[in-house]
Amino acid sequence: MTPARRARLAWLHRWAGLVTGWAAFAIFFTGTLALFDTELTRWMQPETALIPQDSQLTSYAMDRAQQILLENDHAGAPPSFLLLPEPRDPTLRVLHYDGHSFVGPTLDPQTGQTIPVRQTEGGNFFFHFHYTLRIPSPWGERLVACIAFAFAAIVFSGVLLHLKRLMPDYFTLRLKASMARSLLDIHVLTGSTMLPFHIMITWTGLILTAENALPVIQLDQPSLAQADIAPQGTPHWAPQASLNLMLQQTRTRLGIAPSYVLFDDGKTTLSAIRQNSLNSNDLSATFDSQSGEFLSKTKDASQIEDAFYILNGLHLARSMGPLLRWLWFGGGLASTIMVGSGLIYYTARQKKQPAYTFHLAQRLNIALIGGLVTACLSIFVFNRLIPAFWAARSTLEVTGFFGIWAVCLLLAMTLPVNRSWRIIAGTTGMLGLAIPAIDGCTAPLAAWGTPLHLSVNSLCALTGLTAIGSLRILSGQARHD
Amino acid sequence: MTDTVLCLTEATIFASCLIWACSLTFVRNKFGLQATPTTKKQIIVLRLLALVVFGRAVKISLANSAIPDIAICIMLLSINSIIIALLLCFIEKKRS
Amino acid sequence: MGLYVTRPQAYTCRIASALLVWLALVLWGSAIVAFFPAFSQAVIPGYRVMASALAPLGMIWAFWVTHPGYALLGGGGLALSGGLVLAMQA
Repeated sequence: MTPARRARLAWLHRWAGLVTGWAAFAIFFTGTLALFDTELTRWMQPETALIPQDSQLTSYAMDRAQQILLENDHAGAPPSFLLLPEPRDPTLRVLHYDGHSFVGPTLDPQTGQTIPVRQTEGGNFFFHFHYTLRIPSPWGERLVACIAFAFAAIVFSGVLLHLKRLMPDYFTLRLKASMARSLLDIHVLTGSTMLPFHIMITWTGLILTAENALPVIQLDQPSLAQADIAPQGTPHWAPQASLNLMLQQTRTRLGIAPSYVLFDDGKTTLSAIRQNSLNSNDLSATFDSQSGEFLSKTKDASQIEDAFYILNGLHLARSMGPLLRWLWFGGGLASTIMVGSGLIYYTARQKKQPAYTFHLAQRLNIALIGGLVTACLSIFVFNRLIPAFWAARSTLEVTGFFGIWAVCLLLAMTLPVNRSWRIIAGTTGMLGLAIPAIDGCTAPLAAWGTPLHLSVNSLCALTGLTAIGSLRILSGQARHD
Repeated sequence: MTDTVLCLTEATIFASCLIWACSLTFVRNKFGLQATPTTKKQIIVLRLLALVVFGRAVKISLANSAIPDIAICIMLLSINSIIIALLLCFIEKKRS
Repeated sequence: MGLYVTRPQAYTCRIASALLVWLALVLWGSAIVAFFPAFSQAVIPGYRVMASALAPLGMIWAFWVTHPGYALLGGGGLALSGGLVLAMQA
């Protein structure tokens, strides 16, 4: 590669990275958390910890769910759906979309009794943030699609820039060297070792967002999106026929237990996620909602269709087993660190030639990287501190998240850089270490020792310790300067 | 994938990463290995061996469906590379 | 800026070229979908999978070519031809 070409690619890598990097960091960080969205929802509803992990769905609980569906239907509520118990969430949920999030009663799968859970967006908050940045639809999705395309170009230019040193520097990490060198090593190490993951997650993300970024222009026909919309407003959507019988038939016909039930257009569809397959094409059986008569089941997909579903499944990670999910979590964390270290490297490298962009980038790094982590931890704290039965507690949690993030931005913009970083990192440290203690005081006794609470609390504490550790690095760096 | 197969897969992939690391100049320098006329041949042999060991790990892991098992192997390879980079970083610290 | 100074206009041309490559993908993709109306449900995902893979290459290509004018010309030509093909389908 000629030096001029290298300089052009470096310019693209630097500026595209700087412009989209903060949003990419937020997308990767929340996406990594969203891998465990169901588990986070359960942690944020500690009342569900009383339900054993291997609870079996009883016909009594299914009848109770059907009764709730019929009541909702008669009250004119929008169509609900059922989430059936599975190892990740052993409760039975009757949910509907209220314009902001999925809400509805949570039932004990054995007794059918309503569990008095606190209303929260739970892990769905991170999932929603991941692909919309909480910007109103469709602008959020469009922005994320643009960032995904820019990120793909950044990854590709990074690979081309580093290609020559990819092999010789593969295991290089010099944490004892200068700040800029250490950051570059971390950036390159997480980038090159996780390259298959970066390529896979960026490409599959592009495919998922392609509807917004790669629209199909149709000059003389109504748009496909409009043509595909199902007729709305069927007067009654709740099934009259027994759901228990449909459930039994589905188990027999599909060979696996269904995971969720949808009601639409006079039909009831019971779908099963294909666990450990990476295939996002769920198996479904459809019944007539009134008579309970079996109508159809999912046709076998062609090889091309299956490839498309696997590409989606690789990104959505819905059908993964726990091992692969944790490995994906590691990959997501490495991607987040790669983006974060790249952004901080930009400011660490330019210390000798301070410019306006340098100061702005330094402050935005503190506000948008440190602030986001603080805000994410604060949502867990708000979840425990806001009284469980406040009507608007779900909205309050989200407001609290953005409030804390806004305060971090204000601090970063007004205070000297070192001071604002000390305050934000200190707060992150305190929040991270406080979460296990707050959880211990507020969650039911039965929840304490569960793997779910142990994992979430440990990760929060680890984040807190890392933030406090970064304060020590900052002190060392200040002495060095 | 049972726990035993996972442990064996992880150990094999770790060994494969370690063998590949031994073929890199900066790692050899760290352990004080001098360059000799046979160094180039050693490097080729080490890298081929690392690939064979990784292939063995993939074969061990292939228990149920291929795609998730291959994904596990690739992710383990990436994570083990980071672990080895960290270990090598601390080895340098000890020596200085 | 270092040894290899490039004028800001050159980067503007290259960024415009990268955007034109994206437009070309949309127009060519739409034209291909319009060419196979009976299979649109199968062609659209295929087009999006291919275009998602090609888009980063196209964007990098705009910064790879030696002369910014070539980048602009190439991107513009692809977009224009895609637009023409799509217009002929209408």
